[in-house]
Amino acid sequence: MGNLNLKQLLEGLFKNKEARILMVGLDAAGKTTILYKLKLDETVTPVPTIGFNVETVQYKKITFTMWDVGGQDKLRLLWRHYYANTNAVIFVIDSNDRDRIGEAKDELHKMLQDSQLADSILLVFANKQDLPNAMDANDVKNKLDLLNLKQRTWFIQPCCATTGEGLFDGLDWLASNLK
Amino acid sequence: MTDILTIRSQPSNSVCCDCESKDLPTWASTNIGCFLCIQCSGVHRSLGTHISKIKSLTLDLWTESEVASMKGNLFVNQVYEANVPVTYPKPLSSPDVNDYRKEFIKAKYELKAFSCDKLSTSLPTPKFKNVCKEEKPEKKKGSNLRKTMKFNRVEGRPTTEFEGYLTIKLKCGRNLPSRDINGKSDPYVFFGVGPDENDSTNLYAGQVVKSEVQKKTLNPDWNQEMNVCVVNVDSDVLHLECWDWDKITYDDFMGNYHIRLKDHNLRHNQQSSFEVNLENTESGSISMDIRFHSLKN
Repeated sequence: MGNLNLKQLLEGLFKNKEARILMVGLDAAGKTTILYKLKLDETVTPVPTIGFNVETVQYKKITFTMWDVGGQDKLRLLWRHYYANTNAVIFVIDSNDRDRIGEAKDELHKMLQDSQLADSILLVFANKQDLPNAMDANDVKNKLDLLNLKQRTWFIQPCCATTGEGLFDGLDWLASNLK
Repeated sequence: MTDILTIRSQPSNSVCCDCESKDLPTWASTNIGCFLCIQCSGVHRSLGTHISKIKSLTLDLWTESEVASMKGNLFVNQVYEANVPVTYPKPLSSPDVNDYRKEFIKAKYELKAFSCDKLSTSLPTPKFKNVCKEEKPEKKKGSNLRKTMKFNRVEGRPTTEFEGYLTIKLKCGRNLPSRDINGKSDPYVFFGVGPDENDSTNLYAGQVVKSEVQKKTLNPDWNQEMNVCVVNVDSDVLHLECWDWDKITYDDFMGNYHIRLKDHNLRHNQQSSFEVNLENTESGSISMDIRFHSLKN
């Protein structure tokens, strides 16, 4: 019995930390492209996700289990099924889509009101920085009203999912801020 | 107001505007005004919303002005395919030609290389094979491959696709078993969807919902609506478990039940009422209404 406890203790010390990550955002923000760039380092052109993808990504001794859930209007109703035990939310923004940044803001704030996400930290990926008309991270931050998020640990990271730029900087922030 | 599906029912809008896939298009570009298959819609999305804004005909909500702006495939191709060089045949609907599909769609909408006001002579020969030239027509007709192909895959990687979701209106419980020393219980209900009727722990990841706790009662009224996702309405099983909430100790089991969805022939937007007697317990019944919402029509 004593041995077993010691074994468990050692495993606890060296075992990878695990984190459950929920990645959401409006349709066509780039969620699935980000997931497979992180997982496979491949640039995919996915069809719209009618449902979800889930993959684990190992980084900095943390096993990230990343849930990528579709963003069409009717699928957003289903996001909250994934809230329980979520350590971090990644909210993906199409920085080039100025018409719908207000809609993204509304969805983000509505989601964060759910008590199941009270302890989750928030990473915003301001994606598609390569496109001609993209808003920069500061602009996205203001339009999403992030400064008004009280008692929430959050960070915004500009990125480009197709080249991979900025994605691991986002994971770095998650790794050092996950409890 | 004209419905978006009514506009799709015109013959020219009933095939994909870009690859002419014969499956009814379920996607559309609202700024270009054309109807598309899911494969081509994926390529449109990769161009950015300054080129094409993609919406689902069934999963997205449409405003009146968006519906009104749908010019239709015939008009769109009169403009965007006015002048297509022979080196750029239509991509086939097969995913084998995905690289060529990207080239074709990019040339058509981003470069506007086939439009009437452009000379297409400067356009380079496509890099990727477009199969048309190499494939025999008979092979193209044979649709066996297409039938078995999963269109919801990301370059060969599976996506779990929802067929739809159930809206469960949990109404009430009656004559539930007692689990607390005061002779009452604090009941709540878990719902989960899985593929196996004999294994209530094998549930689709994430597809579990829990009702509110009703304190100190054996005849709770919930009147609460919850949604759970369904992967296959013809084989999935809805599991429910009733539990007694305890503040200090572990919660106590009060009974369970499972509903095989195929037995109830659930059709889109139809509601069925259920009053089920809990199993593996002394007594109790649960009443609920279940409505299935298909995401695929």
